[in-house]
Amino acid sequence: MSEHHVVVENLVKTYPGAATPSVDHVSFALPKGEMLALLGPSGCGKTTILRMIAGLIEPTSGAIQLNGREISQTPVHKRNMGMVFQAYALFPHMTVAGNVAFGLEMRGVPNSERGPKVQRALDMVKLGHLGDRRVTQLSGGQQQRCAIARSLVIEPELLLLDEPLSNLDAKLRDEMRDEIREIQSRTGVTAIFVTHDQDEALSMADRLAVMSAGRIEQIGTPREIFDAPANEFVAGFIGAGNFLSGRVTAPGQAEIEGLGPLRFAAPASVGSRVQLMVRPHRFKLAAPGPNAFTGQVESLVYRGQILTLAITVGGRRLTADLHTHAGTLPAKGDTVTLAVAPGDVTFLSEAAA
Amino acid sequence: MSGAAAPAQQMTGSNRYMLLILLVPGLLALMTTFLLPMVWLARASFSTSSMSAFGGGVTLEHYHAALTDPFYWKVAMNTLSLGVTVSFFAVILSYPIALFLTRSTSRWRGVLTALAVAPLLTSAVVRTYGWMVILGDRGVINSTLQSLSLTTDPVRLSNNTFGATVALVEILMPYAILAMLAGFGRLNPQLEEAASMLGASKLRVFWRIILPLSLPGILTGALLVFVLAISAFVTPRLMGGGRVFVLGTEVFQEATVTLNWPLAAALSVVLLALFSSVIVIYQRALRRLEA
Amino acid sequence: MTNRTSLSLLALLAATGAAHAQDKTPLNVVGFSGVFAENYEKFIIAPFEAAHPDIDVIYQPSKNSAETLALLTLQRSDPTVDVALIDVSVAIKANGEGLFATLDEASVPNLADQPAWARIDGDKSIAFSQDNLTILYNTETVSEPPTSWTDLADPKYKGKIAAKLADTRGVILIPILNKIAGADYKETIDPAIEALNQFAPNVSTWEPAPDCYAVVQSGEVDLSICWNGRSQYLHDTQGGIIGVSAPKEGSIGQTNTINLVEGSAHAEAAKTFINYALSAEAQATFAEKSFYGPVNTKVELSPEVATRIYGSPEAQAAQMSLDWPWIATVYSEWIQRINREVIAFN
Repeated sequence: MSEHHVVVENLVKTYPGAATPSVDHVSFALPKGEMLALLGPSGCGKTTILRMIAGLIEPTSGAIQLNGREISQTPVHKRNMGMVFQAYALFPHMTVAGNVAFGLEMRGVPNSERGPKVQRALDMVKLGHLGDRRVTQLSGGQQQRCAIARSLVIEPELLLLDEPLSNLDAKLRDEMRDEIREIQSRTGVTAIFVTHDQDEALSMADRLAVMSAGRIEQIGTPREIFDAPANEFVAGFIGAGNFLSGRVTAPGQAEIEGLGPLRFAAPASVGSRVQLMVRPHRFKLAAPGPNAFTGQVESLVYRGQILTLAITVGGRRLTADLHTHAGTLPAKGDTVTLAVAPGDVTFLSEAAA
Repeated sequence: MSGAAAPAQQMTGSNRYMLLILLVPGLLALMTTFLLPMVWLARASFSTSSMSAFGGGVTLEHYHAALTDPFYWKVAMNTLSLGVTVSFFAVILSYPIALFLTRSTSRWRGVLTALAVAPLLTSAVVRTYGWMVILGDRGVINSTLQSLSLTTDPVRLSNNTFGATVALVEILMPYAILAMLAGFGRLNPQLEEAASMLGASKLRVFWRIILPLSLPGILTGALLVFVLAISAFVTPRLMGGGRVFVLGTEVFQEATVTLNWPLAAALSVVLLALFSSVIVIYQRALRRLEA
Repeated sequence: MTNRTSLSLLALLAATGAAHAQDKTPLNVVGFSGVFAENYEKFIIAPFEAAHPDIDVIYQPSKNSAETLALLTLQRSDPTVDVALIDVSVAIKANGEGLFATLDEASVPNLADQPAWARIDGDKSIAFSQDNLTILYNTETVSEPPTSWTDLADPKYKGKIAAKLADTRGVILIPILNKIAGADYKETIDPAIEALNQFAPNVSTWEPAPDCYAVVQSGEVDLSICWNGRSQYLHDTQGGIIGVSAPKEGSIGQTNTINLVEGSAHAEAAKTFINYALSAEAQATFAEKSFYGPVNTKVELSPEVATRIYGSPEAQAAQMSLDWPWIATVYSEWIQRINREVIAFN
């Protein structure tokens, strides 16, 4: 346990009058310096977990440990965590520097040390020249930076970010995503952030926990989550997929209704029913053969680097993302063949027939 | 609706015409109920005839009488100090209520807010009588004190400045609460959470976040109560037992007892001038605070 | 409303209007409200109308004389009021503005029976009744009623007196207290102010609410300085809780005047009415029923009625009257002195 910096164990939150818990026996652990994303649809309990860790909500049961110390009874203002709120929650009656200095002031840091620390924090988020501005005069991105500086200047044990990018426009979002990641790795602060955006989670987090209905469905590195989703929910929530179910007819081969045989690289007993998935980008244009399906192009969406097309095969729709450099591109109505390597077929589950 | 919301310079000619027509009834009502009486009052204050505002010549003698009489200066000071005291206590007592109502997430919040301002549904006179029953020499408090043998003679709680202040504070509290509720727009529970996360205890959250952010509401409430308190005359008269001399009671006395209408008018104008300047200064300060 | 009913209503209105125009002169009288209005309508107006079927008296009660004055001022170019009953001090003010017409003995013969002091401002305002200032007490809490104005200063009444004195009540009390001190009110009122300051510490409220009678009846105070007429009425109707004690040093009446409004459209009818209102018969009846002191010198009161109006024979002998036009010149000044030298310090 001691190697983990943050440990959450069997955390439960049931709101009075609610039939089911909002957070249902959630456990996870983070080593120091790791960035964890809590990802899930709205209402899945991810923000509730973050707020319980922060101390803003009291858990119904369960344990939260920081540095091996139980903190679920510690009042908010003594937890020494930084938090970046979705709407930033900057103090409108203070300047940018005043906001950043607030936490230092509460900690009794003497005035002489406060100034340089505030300046360093502002420099880090590229707001060094705006310290005297009122926060209401800042743009959205600047407010976000100010909020980050404010939460980091106190050198928190843990940084919590609640949907930190959702209030920014698309271009700023990409910029801030990299910046947050960069600042986090530079300062080495352990961080947990909440998001409903899979791209954000995949690109920023060291590991991510996919949540649904108060439970963690899967926790793992982005790659594990993407390539080896634990179940259909995770697979569906992260990235797009062609879900195929069928019966195993031979080791490593299943008969998919309407498609025929599909080979896959996972152990499954012959005769059982399996749930398989092919990510759209795993398909390649090929000549007819094994693990290849031929059909007519029904729709085409050109996205620059990628061409998304859908074909109909035996009354079933398959979606594929093709790299646009791949030679001659098909047109609508063309007959094409999509092939997938057995190793690129994701095995989701198996059930006895 | 969208036309009315658009900035004036973008309005088309016909829109402006419509706006004017829509404004006419309100402007007329304001003219007849506010502007004309004010003109009448101003003219009456210069009149040499004691009964008619527009008859008789023009004289400054009533202003001379009002401004050179030290008694009226004392009365003005009394008025000011009553206004300040009442505002102070009304704000102190209303603030926690308004704060609670703003921050409450209870589904009873609407009902509670209605209850807090419900006293406005009864007239100030009725509530003044209520306070006379409570604070009178044989009122609830004194009979309780006497039945507990804590006092033998009644404690003078009414018919003095104390009684007038208590009644005014209670009567004006709903106004303070309403003004504060309207002025607490910048309060936001996330700011309090952010401050706690940064290490501020509940007390410091209050002093550093809640109080500064609710200050505009507090000051608006205080101003409203102050204005209503300095212009009140029924409550000071009845609860003051005639001992509380404020400009409102003096104007009433001159107008209805000694029938010196020009002096009453001059005193009203002085009251208006004195306190509108207070309000202007106050508003300036308030705006600077909010900027 | 259907056309037919509105038409018949209109016809009815026209018919009654015509009847008025032919038979009756409307006479608008504005005066005091409350019990006074009741008594006045019953004992003055009703007998008058019986004797003069051609005149229809319409009585409009007014909240107070100041309000009546405001109404008359507003209507001065085209008055709807013919006769006004108002306090003498307000009447004098109104005469300064020329609101009332001069009466004469030719058209109002009963003027001859009024004492000189009652014919104010050259017969423009005629005093018709005097409501004495008196002391009323709560019979349940006061076993020994006060007999003298000086009893008000008795320490046993500390915090037990209601006295609204910043109006005509104070202006009347000053000459009374002055006389007790042996001074002439036209020369100085310092002795009266001193006397007021002697009983001021006993005063609980200078602004009894709702009025100076109710606070005695409710037991909020023991004594109150008030008008005799209403006190006697309340004594009779409220089961004797209110007692009236006319001080032996005598008193002065709040003097009510009757006035013909300048420019009245029904001046002749108005003079007929005023003449009746000033008659010994009318004043005697009104005195008996309302305990307002009569002014007409021909009125003979029974001893019982005289006692209830003026008090003991000693008090009756000491009854005073004032030079009201002179008082009018010092009215505000006296009230100001009461406010500033008595009430403000107590």
